[in-house]
Amino acid sequence: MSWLTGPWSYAFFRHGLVAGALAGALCGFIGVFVVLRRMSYIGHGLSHAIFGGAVATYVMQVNYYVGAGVWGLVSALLITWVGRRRKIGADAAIGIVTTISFALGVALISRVNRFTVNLDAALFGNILGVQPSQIWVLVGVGIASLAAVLLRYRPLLFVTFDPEIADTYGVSSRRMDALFSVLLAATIISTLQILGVTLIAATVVIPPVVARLLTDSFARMLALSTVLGTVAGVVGMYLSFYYDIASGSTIVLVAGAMFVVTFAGTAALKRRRLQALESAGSTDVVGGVGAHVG
Amino acid sequence: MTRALVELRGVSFTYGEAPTLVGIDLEISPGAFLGIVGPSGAGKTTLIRLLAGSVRPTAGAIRFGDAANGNGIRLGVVPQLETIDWSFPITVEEVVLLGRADKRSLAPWATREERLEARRLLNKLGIGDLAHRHIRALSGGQQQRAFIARALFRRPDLLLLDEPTSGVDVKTRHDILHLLHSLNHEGIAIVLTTHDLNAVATHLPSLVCMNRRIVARGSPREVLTSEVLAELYGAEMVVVERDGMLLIGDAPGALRDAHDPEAHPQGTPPAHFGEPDHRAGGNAEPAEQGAAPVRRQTG
Repeated sequence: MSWLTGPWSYAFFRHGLVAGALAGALCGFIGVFVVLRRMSYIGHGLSHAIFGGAVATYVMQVNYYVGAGVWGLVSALLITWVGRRRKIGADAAIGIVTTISFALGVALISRVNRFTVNLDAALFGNILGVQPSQIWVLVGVGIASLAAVLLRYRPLLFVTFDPEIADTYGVSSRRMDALFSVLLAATIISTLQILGVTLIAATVVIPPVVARLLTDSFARMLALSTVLGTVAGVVGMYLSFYYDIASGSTIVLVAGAMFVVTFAGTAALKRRRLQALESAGSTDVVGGVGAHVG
Repeated sequence: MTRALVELRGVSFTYGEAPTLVGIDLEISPGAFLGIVGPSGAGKTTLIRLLAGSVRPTAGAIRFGDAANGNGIRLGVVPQLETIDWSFPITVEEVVLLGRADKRSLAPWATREERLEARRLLNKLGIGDLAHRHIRALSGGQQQRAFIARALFRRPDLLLLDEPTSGVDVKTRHDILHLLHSLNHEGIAIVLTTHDLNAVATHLPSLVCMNRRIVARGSPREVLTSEVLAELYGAEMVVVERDGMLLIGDAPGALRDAHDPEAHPQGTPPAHFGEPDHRAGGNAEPAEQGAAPVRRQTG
């Protein structure tokens, strides 16, 4: 068991392990709504948008969480608002809002000479440099997200499943869209510095997709996706430690491996079921003919 | 005097270009069982959306029950099955429980009473044993029943259904309309849209024929006439009565062009019905003995 507990003697690993598990769980949990709304690109896009906000807050010397929070929330609301226009749609809205925001960030970097922040950390994450304060932010966002989803479970499910009809059943689709935007922006902001702009989308999309392959129930998908996200975070951190690979990439690769195995496994199961049905059908026909002849 | 559940006065609606609905006056009374028929693009779904309060009229006024804001009555809406995302991970029971999604609750899970009521409804609709199935694993008729159960779980005063008989076989269509009949007898007002004229002629007590505006309203015998249908669909249709039932079909004259050698010098089109010669007159008598054409003008 020393291989399991050995790395705990390092503070950077302990922090990274907790951060990886929490970030994986949070992204897996909120990612269910992202995937089912068919907005998988939003995780990728919003992280780019918030990157622009992060640069702007640095230049204006505002606290990261305040600046990026406002920027991320406005971006998420803008995406939802612009995406409601039938002629535009959610995918194009994500492309428009997030690339403009990202471009603004890059433009600011090119104009401000005193910008010295390590861009690699923002783009690829720095899970091994996680500070306790970042873990507390993750814990806070995680608890708030869980509470919000549990308290508004059925309205959120209704708007995700059948948004056209929701208002008729007394569920405000606008309020639920706004709640979703807030939760998503908070998730991206709290995990951005840990997983990085370029990798965050995978942790939002892969665990829910794997969970979807394994269950037909929304409640089970929500639980399963959270567990899978956590497992990817923990296993990824250990593999990263022992094989000396970048932590964020390892977490994403573990999630990717989960997808490949589940995809192949469920496809094989389906094939076997079909073959069993076919053979049962041919047996019936033979039996039936025999009965008539006899 | 009983007040109408929903009252539309001079309602018009547009999505931004051509008007979708013009000057609609309509009252839905408690216990009504009303069918809305008309060609594609006539505004039937938009009318259902207006009745459901999903969209607001661009002109005119809608009054719901005794309250102007729609709180006066409870609505149950069953959408067109084509609009549902069938790959969404949701079971039949989860769909039904959404009927009370507006209920404030500290716990995300349904109460025991809610589950029992959902199960009772599903049993009543004949799909009780399918409660834990995924919605895609049901037949068309069962899917329709699952969404009717969601609407009934809300204990509605008015049930709105958008094309509930679309895409199902004759037996299922018959079963669904009988189910709606029995719900109506329990006191639930029902409004549905459909393209199936023969089904509504047989099952529904009152109809509204519309094509952006209301063309006719009344009982099937009053409104399903060749004149009204010609105005509605822009095509000649024949209405015959047999054994007390109205039967509506394409008039042979509607096929005249398809059989005209001059209109199609390259030959008879592939969709060819019957012999061209004896239909050339267009106003053919009904082929069945004892069937008489119905030509009534609505009031």
